[in-house]
Amino acid sequence: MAWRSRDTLPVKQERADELLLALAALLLRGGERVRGFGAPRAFIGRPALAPLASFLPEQAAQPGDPRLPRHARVVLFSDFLAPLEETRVALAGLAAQGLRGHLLQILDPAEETLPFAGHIRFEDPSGGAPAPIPRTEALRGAYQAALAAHREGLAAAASAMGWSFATHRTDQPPELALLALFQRLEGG
Amino acid sequence: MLSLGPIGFAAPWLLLALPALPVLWWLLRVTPPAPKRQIFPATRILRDLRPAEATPARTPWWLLLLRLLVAGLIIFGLARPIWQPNAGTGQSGPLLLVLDDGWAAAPDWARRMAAAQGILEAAKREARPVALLATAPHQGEADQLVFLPAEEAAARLAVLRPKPWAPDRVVALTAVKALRAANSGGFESLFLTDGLEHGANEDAAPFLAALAEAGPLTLLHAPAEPRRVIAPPVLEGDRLRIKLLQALVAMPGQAAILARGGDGASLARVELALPAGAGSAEAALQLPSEIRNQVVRLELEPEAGAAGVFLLDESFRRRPVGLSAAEDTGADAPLIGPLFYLLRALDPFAELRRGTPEALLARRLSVLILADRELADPKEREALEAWVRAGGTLIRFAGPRLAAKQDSLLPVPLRAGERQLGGMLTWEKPQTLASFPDHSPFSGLVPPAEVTVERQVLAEPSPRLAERSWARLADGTPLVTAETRGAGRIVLFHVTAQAEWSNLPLSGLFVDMLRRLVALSAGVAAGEADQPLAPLETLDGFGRLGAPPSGAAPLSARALDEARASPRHPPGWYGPAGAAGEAAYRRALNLSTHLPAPRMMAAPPASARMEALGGEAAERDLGPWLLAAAFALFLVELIAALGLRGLWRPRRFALPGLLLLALMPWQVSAQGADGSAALATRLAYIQTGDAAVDETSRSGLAGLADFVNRRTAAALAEPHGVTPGQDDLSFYPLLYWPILPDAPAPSAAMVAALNDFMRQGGIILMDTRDQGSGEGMSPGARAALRRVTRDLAIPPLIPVPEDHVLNRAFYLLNELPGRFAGGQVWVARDQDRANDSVSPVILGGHDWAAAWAMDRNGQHPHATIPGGARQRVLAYRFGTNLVMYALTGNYKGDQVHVPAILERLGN
Repeated sequence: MAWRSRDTLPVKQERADELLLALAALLLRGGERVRGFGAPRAFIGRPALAPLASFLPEQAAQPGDPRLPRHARVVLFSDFLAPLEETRVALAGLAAQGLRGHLLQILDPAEETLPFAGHIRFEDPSGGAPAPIPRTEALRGAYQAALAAHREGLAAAASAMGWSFATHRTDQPPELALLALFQRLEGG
Repeated sequence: MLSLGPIGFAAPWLLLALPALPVLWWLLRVTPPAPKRQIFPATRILRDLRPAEATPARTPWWLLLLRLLVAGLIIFGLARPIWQPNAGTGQSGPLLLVLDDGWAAAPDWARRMAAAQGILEAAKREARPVALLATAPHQGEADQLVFLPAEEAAARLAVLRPKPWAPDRVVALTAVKALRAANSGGFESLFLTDGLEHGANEDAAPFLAALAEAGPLTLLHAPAEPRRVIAPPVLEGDRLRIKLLQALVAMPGQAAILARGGDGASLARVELALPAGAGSAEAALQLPSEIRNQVVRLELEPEAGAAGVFLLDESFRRRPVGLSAAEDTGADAPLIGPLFYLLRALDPFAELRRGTPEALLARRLSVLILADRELADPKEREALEAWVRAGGTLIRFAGPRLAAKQDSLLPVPLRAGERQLGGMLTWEKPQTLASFPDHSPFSGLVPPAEVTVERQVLAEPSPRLAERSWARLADGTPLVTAETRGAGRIVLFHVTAQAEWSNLPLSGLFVDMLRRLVALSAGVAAGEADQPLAPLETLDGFGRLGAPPSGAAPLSARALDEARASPRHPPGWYGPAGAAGEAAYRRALNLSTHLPAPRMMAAPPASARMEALGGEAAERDLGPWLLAAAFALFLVELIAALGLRGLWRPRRFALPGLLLLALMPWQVSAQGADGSAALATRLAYIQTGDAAVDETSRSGLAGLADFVNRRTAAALAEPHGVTPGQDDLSFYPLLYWPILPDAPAPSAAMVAALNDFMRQGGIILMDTRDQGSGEGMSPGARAALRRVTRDLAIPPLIPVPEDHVLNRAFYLLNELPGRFAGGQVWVARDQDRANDSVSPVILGGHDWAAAWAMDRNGQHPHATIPGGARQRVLAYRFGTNLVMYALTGNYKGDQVHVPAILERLGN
């Protein structure tokens, strides 16, 4: 998540935090209780926004909290680039608790279009094996297809559990994604 | 040697590597550059994709081409390509290389050597044996001419230097004949000739014929190069007539002759124009005698080697000779006047002055001749005695007055009255002269039998009379006696200077005797005709003085006049052994004394090929350039490869770098622009319109500003040249104004501007450049001064008083010298409170700007006269005082500083 393709774009993590805090601010203003995975208790009331922000770096790496009340709503911000199966297992765990929720996939534009060309050795920031690609431009179409398939898999997994799935690119304004999310929470 | 068009290859087998380039192509293709690294979160997706397309990476085509180009350039570079390989290609067999290395080859010696080296280089590549023949005679035995490997010939060539004498083609011809006899197969000849005929006869033609007979002959010569010689100058009255000879050249030319002093200072320069087709040009060098006597060397500009240097020895010095008779009126009356014969005898070789002894001694004088003049005034006698002891030569002629009244300034005591021979009442016949004794300076002269003496004054017999007698009559009575006093001499002719007592003044002997006496006044020792003169310093082929070569032999003074420049007697200075130095007597042996006027060589045989030296481009080794280009391309390739790997961001560094490079020249040129005159304090000079004088003024003030900036707190900028009436003078504290002899009267606007300048507190330093030791340097400047200043509001002037602020504004000075010293400097007499009593005009004639001037190399282009570093320092100090005076006014004249000055004087 801590990556961007150009200096002019925000890092994906920043955009995720930004959206999360904006959403939390709206919800807190509406009297909702907001909680992060790994937090001991919920944050309540407007003044809780600052503690929430300072909690963000400490949140749990994997979603999942047995103490969550039923009918609570879950919003997950991620690039969801982990293998589809891992994501599905994590979602199933949450759904089994009777939770419903929303997935927002945040991607860098470069991750969608693969604008590179030539002989490139791609390295995974999360520590996976590198991928040396002799002619990147030749692989662009296949990559975009694979990414679309991955998204479809995510969307299918979400809808199978009654969750919703949306995507956001860091070169787009965050307000649109925020509005869509908020409406879904209101509506659902 | 393989050649492709104008390019030849010295190591062509390396070109066999060229077919290997396609292999290189294939190798380079399969080894692509290292990949770029890119962090990418979705790498996992890509990793899963990879097996789908496994196309191998390819090197981009342009990079491949670049690398092939680099490889190709390296192969070509190592094959030693040569641009336009030299003549001699295609020929084989032995080669004779003939070089003229006489005086005429010196001006373009470097070009000749380069051409000869090129020829030997070509011969080395073709493995041809080479014989090297230098036509000028050299020290020791002539070597046997043999064919050598080209390497050895190149080593011999490297030590050749031009000789300061003429080539001898007769000797060269015998060497060629011997070589021809030893090599029946013949040989090719290359003749690097100076194009001149050197012998008295037509020596070049048989020599060329012998070369042409032995095989193909090529002549390399430089037709455009003029061969110039300074002919022996002629002393003519008060000037030195200089003649420049040159071989016929179609182009008009320009030359200058520099007169240099013993310390190398250039004292004068004359320009000569050589019209097209002219064989000679003449110019006259006119200098005050004191300065002309310092000239020891004439030099041609542009440098022309030994032939462009002429050394001037004693025979070219004109000594100032003073003449004084008892009564000045009628002293030069034809045939009867006491000075008539003296003037006629001395005029061609001495500078003559007339007047009373007192007036004559006021200037520097070598010889004073008193024709029957008694010295009654004791003060006059004392002054003369002191002058003689300081080195003067006093020559006296007897007569009725001297016979009646003797004084102390005589070499021998005289008997009262005179002795008459062959008169009505005497038994004795008029006496002829005895031959001159050996110790006499007249030794070597032959007294003609018709010279007789009828009357003379007689010396008292004394033990030393014999050694003091320089000439005697046949009966043994002294005719000329001399005595050394201090550093000088007193010489007495016991007869009159006119034909009254003897007919000696009518004979040629009289002229010779006077000439020897005047020459003696410079310290020429007697009895020198057969004395061997050893070479002290000799010229090399380039006209530089140096230690004599080991083969140089001494020769007698008599032989020196006849000697031709040769290896045994190279041109240069000769003198008595162990008497080196400026003051010692020395004689010059000059190359051009016995050199015929340069004339072109006869046309070569029809079979000979003529080539202009340096006309064709010299061969050039392209190898290093190709390798350098390969290296540069390799750097480009490296940057490109780094770019492909993402390690080099061109737009970050390269662009600013390029911009910086592109901007630099403009920035530099932008700094050259000058600001307005008002932005800095600076000195100024009045432009005279004479480019040389204006340049001297400019560099002089620049040199002074430099000195002042270093020594004081003043910060002066570059001086400006101004034209009063056009430029605003109010920015300048000081104007330097050299007055030219032909300066016109200033215009009304100029007068108004200068008057205004002086009224507002400006100072004008007027310089007539002819005072003191520079007397006579700028004749007419004083009349010009009168003309120029007629309308200027110049206050009454007085000589600079001893306590004037100019003498102590910064340095304490007793005199205010410039290039010259000893003249009078004038300032305003009256104190004018309006301008802090600063004198608006300082008037002198010491040519200050010339003393301050400095050229680009930091050298002083104008010698100080009488000379010395001290005079230059004092000139700068005067300049500093002047600038201080101009900038601070009479500040130092304030009474406030009297205690400090008193204290300093007390110390």
